[in-house]
Amino acid sequence: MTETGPRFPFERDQLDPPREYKDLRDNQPVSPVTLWDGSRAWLITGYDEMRAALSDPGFSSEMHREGFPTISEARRAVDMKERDFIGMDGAEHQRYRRMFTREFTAKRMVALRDSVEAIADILLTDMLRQEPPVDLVAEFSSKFPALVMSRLFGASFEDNEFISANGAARHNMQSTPEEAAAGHERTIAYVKRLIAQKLENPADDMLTRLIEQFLVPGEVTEDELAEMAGFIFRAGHDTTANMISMSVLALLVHPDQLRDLRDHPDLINGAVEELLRYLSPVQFVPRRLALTDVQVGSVTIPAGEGIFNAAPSANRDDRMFAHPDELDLRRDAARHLSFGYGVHQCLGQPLARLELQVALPMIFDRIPTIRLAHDLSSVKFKTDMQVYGVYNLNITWDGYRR
Amino acid sequence: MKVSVDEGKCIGAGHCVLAAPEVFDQRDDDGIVELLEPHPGPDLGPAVREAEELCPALAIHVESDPE
Repeated sequence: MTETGPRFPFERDQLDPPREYKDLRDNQPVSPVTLWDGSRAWLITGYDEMRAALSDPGFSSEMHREGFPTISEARRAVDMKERDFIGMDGAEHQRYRRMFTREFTAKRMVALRDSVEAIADILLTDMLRQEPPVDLVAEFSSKFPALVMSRLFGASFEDNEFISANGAARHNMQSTPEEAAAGHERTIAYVKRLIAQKLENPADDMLTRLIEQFLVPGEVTEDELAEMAGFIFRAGHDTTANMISMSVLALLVHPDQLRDLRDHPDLINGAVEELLRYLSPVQFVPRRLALTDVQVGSVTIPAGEGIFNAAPSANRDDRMFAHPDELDLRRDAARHLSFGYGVHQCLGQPLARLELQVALPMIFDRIPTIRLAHDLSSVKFKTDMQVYGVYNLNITWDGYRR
Repeated sequence: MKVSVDEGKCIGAGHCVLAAPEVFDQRDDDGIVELLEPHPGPDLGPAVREAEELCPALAIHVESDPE
């Protein structure tokens, strides 16, 4: 008899993962689920199981393959269109990923810190000139990573709303397949226009370097560069924006933790890792397709079936993290899986860390009396998005530091 | 302690440089791991083990000295 499971995905519960995850993790950390089209896939909710699966070469990342698991018809349409390196395996993946690795080294992040701080400072100063309450999402969290990415790419900041809107069409679980695919096409067309501008007017930015190193010598085509660069550009928007808003909210509802961080600013790097663990904004990826029968934990995933790795669950696994449902900025959370694991682990994670390490202390330093303007029930969570977060976060204050 | 790295596996995530900057670096031209110290002293043991554990590509191998 074929084992079947509950309909997936499940909905998250404010700052916590879906309630269904704990039981699954405790009893069946690799469990069957039923997808929108009636097909079966496997949900990995355990920490060790997720790390094992994401290091196993028996799984493929090629999203256009028959049977690759999706959470919606729209997502399948996007999978069939996108050709960036997260959807590649082996040598092909490595070749394209390595175009970008030098842009995100630890040294590069040290060199970027001053300009990232300057961007945060300008946005925060603008926000604080307004009469509170203000929406932190609109006035800071969504603008800051977008402005950093625009700077890196040498793009105009005015274009960021366009990039974000197309990204949202792709992430929204209510989008039609046509809307989601069109969002991707518009992003690629935009990056192609940007490439044309940079060919005409080279500058000191990432896109110009990519053009000179890979496009001009003919190592990649314009289509390939636009796919890869468009993916990096988009990926740098939503994820960090959602992490900033949710981190501020999490700290405001855990005042003892916030006080500890304010009293001990050197906790910030560890605090960022713990917030990444606790909040785990990326919901249903990484996904993989079994190319052969693959053993994960005590379960054999049959060839041709897919897996979803649920970082929000693995990061709350008490076999790995003691008292996992508690936010504890002093714990060692470095092994969290919010950036995934294996050779596809997030390329931009050093930049995400830098942005969070800069923005969070600055917000709490400059606004000593920051608090929620309304109660938690007024916050609308992104339960319909593949990258979780909040749609709004109205904050207020009585005076601030310039 | 003897450390080796597999440049072919490296994905440039940079965990090793943050965990043990005395032992690991990243090449400027492509961000791939560069081993600065293949025989780090025992005081660097915990940091090097942390780098090995955090490396998502399993590109770092650490051998302890025989007792």
